[in-house]
Amino acid sequence: MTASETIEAMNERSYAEVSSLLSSGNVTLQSGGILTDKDFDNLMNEALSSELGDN
Amino acid sequence: MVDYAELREAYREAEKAIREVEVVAKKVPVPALNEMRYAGYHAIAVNLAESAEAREEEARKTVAHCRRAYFDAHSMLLLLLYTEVQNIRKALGKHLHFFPEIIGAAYVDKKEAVLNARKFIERLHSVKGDKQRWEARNEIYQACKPHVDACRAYIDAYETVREELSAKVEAAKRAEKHWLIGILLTILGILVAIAIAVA
Repeated sequence: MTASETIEAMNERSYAEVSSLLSSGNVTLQSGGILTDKDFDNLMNEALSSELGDN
Repeated sequence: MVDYAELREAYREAEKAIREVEVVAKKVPVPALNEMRYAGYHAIAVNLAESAEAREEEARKTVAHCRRAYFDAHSMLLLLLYTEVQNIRKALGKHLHFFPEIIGAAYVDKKEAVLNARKFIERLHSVKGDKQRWEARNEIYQACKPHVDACRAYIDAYETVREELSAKVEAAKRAEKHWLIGILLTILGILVAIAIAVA
């Protein structure tokens, strides 16, 4: 299985399964881009811009 | 004396945290990678230093950079997962109440944990704005972990019941549509009756 196929396969799994796979140390990944400090600030501002609501 | 096991563990933890971001975002977190570059520089310097004190200092710096990398990766991961929680809630909109109805009492704790994650993000924002506290984030490098886990638990719970939830939302939408058609037909019937009476 190639790295990109591995990522696709992992997208179909729950986060618990992904964590388990990562813990096994048998997964090598290949990324498609970068997350910069600016992305971090944008995500932070978006997270803080709205409340979660009552439910 | 240099604790090489501590160095290896700090590196392993940071590298794993970075891979977790890669899995979720399909992108590498540059701030964490930069910290790992500095960690590598100091890790090499541990063996090149000429005194025991210098070796220990280089080892301390290596661990500090690895832990900052861990913190940077996990704080990015937290924001990504929290955004996903927000997206789930926005997508469900007024039908969000079906989610707690399906998973029952467990929902209260999950919602509370996600609210705590949001409060933590507010503190994170404050820490990032304070250069001195941000530089010392290696001292609280595991602070994001419980909130990352909380967001994951919420998302996992959603994924577990997603089909059932979608079926309930679709049924509710159909019922709303039928109710609206019923109201419109009633109004139309009244108008026709009035028109006949007037004629």
